[in-house]
Amino acid sequence: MRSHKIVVLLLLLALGYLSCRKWEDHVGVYNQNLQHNLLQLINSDTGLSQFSSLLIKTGYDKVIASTRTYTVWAPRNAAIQNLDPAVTGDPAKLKQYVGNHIANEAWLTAAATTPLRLQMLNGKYVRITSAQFDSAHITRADQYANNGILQVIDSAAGALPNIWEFVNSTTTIYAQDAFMLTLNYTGFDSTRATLDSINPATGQPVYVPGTGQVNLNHFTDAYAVNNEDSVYTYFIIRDPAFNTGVTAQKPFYVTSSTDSTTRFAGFNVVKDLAVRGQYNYSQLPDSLVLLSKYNVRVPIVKSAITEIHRVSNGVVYVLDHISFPAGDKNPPIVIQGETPTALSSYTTGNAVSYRYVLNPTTNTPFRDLYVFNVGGPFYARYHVNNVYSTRYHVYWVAPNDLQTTTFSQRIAMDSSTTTFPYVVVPLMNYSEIYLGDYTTTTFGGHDIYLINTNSTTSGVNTLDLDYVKLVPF
Amino acid sequence: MKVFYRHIIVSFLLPVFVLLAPHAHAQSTGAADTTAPAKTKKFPHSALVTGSITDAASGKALAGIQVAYQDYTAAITDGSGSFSLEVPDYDVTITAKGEGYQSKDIALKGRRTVSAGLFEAAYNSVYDVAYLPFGPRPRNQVVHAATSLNTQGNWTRPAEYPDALLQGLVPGLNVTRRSGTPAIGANLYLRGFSSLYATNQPLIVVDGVIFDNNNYGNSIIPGHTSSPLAFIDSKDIENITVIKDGSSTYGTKGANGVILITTSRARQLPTRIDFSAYAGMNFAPAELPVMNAGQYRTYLSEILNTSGLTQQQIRGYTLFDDDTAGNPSYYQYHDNMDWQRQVFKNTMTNDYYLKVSGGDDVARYSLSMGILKDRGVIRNTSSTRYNTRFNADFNLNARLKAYSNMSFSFTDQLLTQQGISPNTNPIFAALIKAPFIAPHVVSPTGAVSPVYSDADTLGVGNPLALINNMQDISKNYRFAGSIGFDYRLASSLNLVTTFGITLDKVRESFFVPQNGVIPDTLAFGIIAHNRSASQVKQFYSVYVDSRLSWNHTWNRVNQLSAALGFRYTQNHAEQDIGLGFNSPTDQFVTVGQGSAALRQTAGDQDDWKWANTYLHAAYGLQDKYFLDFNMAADASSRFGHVIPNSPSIGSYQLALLPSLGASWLISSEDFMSGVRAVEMLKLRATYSYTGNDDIGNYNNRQYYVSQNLLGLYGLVRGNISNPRIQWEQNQKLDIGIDAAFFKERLNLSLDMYQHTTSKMLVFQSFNTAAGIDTVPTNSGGMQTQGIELGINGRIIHTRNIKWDLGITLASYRNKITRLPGDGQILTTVDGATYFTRKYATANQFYGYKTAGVYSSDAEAAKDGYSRMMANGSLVPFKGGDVRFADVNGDKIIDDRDRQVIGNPNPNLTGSISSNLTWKRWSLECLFTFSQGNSIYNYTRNQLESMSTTANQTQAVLNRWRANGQVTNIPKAAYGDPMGNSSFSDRWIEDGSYIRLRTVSITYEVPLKPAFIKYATVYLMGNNLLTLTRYKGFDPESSATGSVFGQGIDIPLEPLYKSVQAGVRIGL
Repeated sequence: MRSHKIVVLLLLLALGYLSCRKWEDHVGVYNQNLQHNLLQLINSDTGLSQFSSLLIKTGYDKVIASTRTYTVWAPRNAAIQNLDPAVTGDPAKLKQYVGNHIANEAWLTAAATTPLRLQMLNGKYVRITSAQFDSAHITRADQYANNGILQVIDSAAGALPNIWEFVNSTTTIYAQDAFMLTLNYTGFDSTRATLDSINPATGQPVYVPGTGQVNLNHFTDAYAVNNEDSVYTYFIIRDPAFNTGVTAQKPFYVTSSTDSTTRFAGFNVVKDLAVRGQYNYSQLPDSLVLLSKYNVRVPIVKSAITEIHRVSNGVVYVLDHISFPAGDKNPPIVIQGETPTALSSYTTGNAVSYRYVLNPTTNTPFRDLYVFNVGGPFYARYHVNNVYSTRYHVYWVAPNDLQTTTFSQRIAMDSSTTTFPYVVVPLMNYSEIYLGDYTTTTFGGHDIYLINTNSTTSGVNTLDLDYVKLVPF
Repeated sequence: MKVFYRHIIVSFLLPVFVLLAPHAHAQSTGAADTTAPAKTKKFPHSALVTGSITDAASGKALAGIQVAYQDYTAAITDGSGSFSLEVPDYDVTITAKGEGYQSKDIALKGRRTVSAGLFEAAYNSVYDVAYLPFGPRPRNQVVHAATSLNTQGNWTRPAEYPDALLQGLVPGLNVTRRSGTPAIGANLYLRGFSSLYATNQPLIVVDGVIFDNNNYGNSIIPGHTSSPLAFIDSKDIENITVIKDGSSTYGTKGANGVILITTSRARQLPTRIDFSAYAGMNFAPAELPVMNAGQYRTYLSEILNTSGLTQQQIRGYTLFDDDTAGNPSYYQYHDNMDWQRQVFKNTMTNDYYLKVSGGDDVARYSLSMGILKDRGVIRNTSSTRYNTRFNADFNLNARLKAYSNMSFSFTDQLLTQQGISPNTNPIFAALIKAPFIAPHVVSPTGAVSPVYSDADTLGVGNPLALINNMQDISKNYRFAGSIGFDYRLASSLNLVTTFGITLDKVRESFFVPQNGVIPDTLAFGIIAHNRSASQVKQFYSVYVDSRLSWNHTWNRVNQLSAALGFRYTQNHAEQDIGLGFNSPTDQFVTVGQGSAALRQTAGDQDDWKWANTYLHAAYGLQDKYFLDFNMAADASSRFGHVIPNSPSIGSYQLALLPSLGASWLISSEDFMSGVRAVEMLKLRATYSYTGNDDIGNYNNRQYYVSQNLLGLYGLVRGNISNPRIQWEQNQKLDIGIDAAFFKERLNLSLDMYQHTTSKMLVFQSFNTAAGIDTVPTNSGGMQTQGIELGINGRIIHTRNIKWDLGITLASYRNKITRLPGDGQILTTVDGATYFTRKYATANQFYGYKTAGVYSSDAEAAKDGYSRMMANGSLVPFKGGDVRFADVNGDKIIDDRDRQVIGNPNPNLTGSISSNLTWKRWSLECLFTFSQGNSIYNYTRNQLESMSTTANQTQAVLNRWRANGQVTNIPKAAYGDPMGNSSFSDRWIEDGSYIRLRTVSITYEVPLKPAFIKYATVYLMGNNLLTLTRYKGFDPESSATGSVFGQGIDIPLEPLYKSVQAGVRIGL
């Protein structure tokens, strides 16, 4: 009976063999490299044994032997035999270090003919060209395994700090970086908060007190230099120039306390010391081309650069000095007429218009506030934040392009402190008209009023305003 | 008269009543012998021939064998097998026959003493009777190329459908089963094909009535076809005769030959009851080697990287997150599924059959009933057929005979969607589905829910949902009934009339659920979450065949049989479809429960008529020279009314189609008397005209179709009528030899033929301004030449062991002789392009030739080829791209670089059969093969194109990764911008195969005659072994009957291996 079973089994095997054979050649993997995964490929090269042992130490050996696709830039033994004991001794640092040589997905050198910025498994980004991995040179390119690509490099590429980590580590060296930390604050992030209940009256969520607290910073709010995904060029001004810059800004930020004045002034200095994108030294424009997020021209003079620091999400330059163009730091304040904070009374009908009109001389559209036949006294109030404590020339643009007669209107600052006289608004005038000067000694919010002629006559009690402009001087 | 009435009732009442019939006839079963008593006449110059009859196997003398000369004289052999018979002279042919033995003609050739050995009745003899349209005729006298199969009930192949049954049995008939789905049918190509756009399927005639085997309107279930032939139980079939030539009596329906099926009738008066029961197992096919979870993950991250996604976006796919704790969908995406195993399954087949036959002098009947349940190999599918058949013959009086054939079959099929329906085909879904996805919903902690997981983020449905929750149902029935009368007007002048009706209904419905299935998008961007459909197709046909036939023999040597007759059919086909979408939940599965606003209806009605007047004359001289003349004059509602050079009656244009055939039985000549090795030698030649009326029901008329314009419905012109449209005309020339050697130990039949189609239907393009794309015209031509050979031999011939071996071979070459316009047609089907050009074989595969893969950028740069992108830019080929052949030398790979890359027509088809009997045992084998046909492996194209996230075969493990890698698999590239997977010889494979089609072992249980008269035990296997280099489930499949579409392997239920065991008991 047993022999029968064996015969049947052999027959079945023979049948199976005959019917499977056609696929065998087709799907068989005969390429040596494709029979191995990345780990096996690395292990098969004795010149990479050091890196291999580091992989085992950090557990990355299991990762690159797994079924996702990776690219490994493996330094040769010579490049890492003298690795800093501070790194080898600290498992976390070592993991960070080794992880900086492995990226998800397969990346051939041909893909980097224009440089690529690839994220490594440690979260850091590394710049890759067809010949280089960061600063290391690729000596043996495009070795393939069944789960990715191996590139052999001639020197190690340790994990770099990102800009924010760099800032944090240099607070004792640069006053600017020390100042940055004063911009820290605690904010609320609802996604990190624990939901307690929903307020039945408002429908709003109620969170457990104390949850959702996050540490934020005004500078990183503006420039996400703490994010590995974003690339910035960050400028540090050495202490003397930085301090001078802050001092120069202080008069503009007179407040009730010295601390806040310093903070405002300091922020106004640092807020233009980073630009989006990585500008390598050779790419730095030696002119007023770089613009900060606040539209301030960043005047880099290459000769002022004393240090360059490589970071994972951009580049950091240390400058001896920087001098922003006059006025860029404290630009004029423009208050658009069509954005009143409040009107003096509720009017029915269509007395108040927020118009969208064309300037016939420049053919550019603009919006304005136009109040017609309002029936009596009327004003529009504009609340303006962040008004520097300084002197201003005050201008307006009031086109008066709708009615056929002129009318008079005036503005008043802070209700009573500065009152400008009535001004006859000429017909079809699209240019700025100088109204007088205005001085304020406190930095912060101020109100501007636009007031009409107290009349019931239509065409006389008109208001028209494109914008008011406060130009510091 | 009383008896007459009784039998009329019996013939019309349904089988329940008829079951009582055996008892009613029990009294009369004693009158056993139906053999006509020998008449004895005196000849003016009589001569006496003496001889002996022996058993051909044992050489033993046979007693009781009847030896006769025509209707004139007869004798019975005595105990020593000797006889003496009076004959007119020594040039005639006498016939020997006896119970259990073959019938045999013995040409005297001047001899006074003859001896002959008779083979057993089942032997495939040259003297067998072929059932032809005008009655049975011994094969040695047949003028035409015809193959007659005395299938005798096909007891060893119980679950086979009649079309599949024919596979390998008829030289020149290439049968390709559509797929492995039970009852799906097969495409029959007799001697290649004769038409590009009209049907290429032979006409099927069952018991003298045209059996409409067409489908009117497609199935709503993708990949499914209903096959009317599947209604016929093979065990009811007694004889199948395939007329390859000389079919002009069927006029414009005979272009592709005729298959005559004769169902079983009572041959003997005693009541016989046959009961059989079979049970079998179907084996799930060998799986295609797709990648496992790990291999697929590597591929997936690679292909996503080429799709333009960033590293971050790729990492955003939780399926790559291997953190068991932190990833709530870890268990959903970290399975290792063998999806094919979820779809395919080993299943059971059951078959039960009961036949009762008998009668008396006045009436004979044969009643059969059967149930066949076949479950295929896809889970949750099955096909169950219930069939009944009642055939009866009446001798109403001395002049009037009547006969009736009634059959009713019902088929209940649970199906699944197949073919190119990527979202609902579970086979395709199982192949491309990511293997790491869990089939059920899994909680973050790994607890498994019984609910099937929904379609995945990669856009593939859940095969389990498609298998278990999708419904695809088809319920069909067909009633085919006929009554015929044969009235003898005078001696040898008969009036024969047959009336037949066919009622056929196909009811189909499907429901595609929401859960687990990719939704469909309707017009206006509406998402169809679930879908339902329902269809009813009806076919109704009336058939009349009436003829005067006259048989006469004069001077004993001149035999003439002639018939003048008329056939008429009137047909009606109707199709009604309803489509429903977005029912409230997956529990509401009918069209009516779908959203009312989205419901759609459609339908179609067709009526056509055909009248065929025919003349048949067969003349035989001295049983040696035979001449056949046939002529048909057809009228049809499909023909145009101004056909040039065509006679007409009134406004009806007639197709006049004559044929002439002659044969010479050389072996009966006196001079052959010395050539003892030659038993039978016959030369024959025929030249015939036939036609093909499958030219569309309404192309000869102007019609309008409804059209929707911005929500308004109106009628627009649907065509440009062609009043000159006519039948395709086929001229067939056939020269053949039938021969038997060494006392019938070796039989062969050789045919050479040339079929010429003129007036072939083509669709001629119009100028765009006409607003109609094409018009059908009869402006094409085609020619097919071929050769066929059938050999049968008895290798071992002893009393106990007999071994028969048979071989059939067929080969044809096809050529287009005429095409309008620029003389070429490009047809695109399922991504394949067919090229049909004047002076070349029709329907050749047309695509790129390739030569491997560039191993490096440098190698690609050396060729310097590029491809033009949609935006007009030229992108050079790089390392890892396929090296295409640049035909026109412009270094740009585009449509102009395509060439012929394959031919779906086989060079050679055929079969090898073997039948070995030993005492009570017998072993039958049938091998079928096909050589030299190309197959476009659509499935492999989908599974190796590496352009989507679909799972692929393990071949892509060899994909190109980096410069210097030598491989023949290109790199993975999402969307395939360089066209590496375009239709090329990469996907064309050699479809040659040889298959052990059937094997059966039969054992006749020795029984003492008692209540059970006999019992036979069967063990059978189908498709058990297939040798092929073809890389697909199976090299045999044919999704469409159209010439364009042959040789494309799309994901259909594959043919599978099966085994059956059964028993047949005779009472």
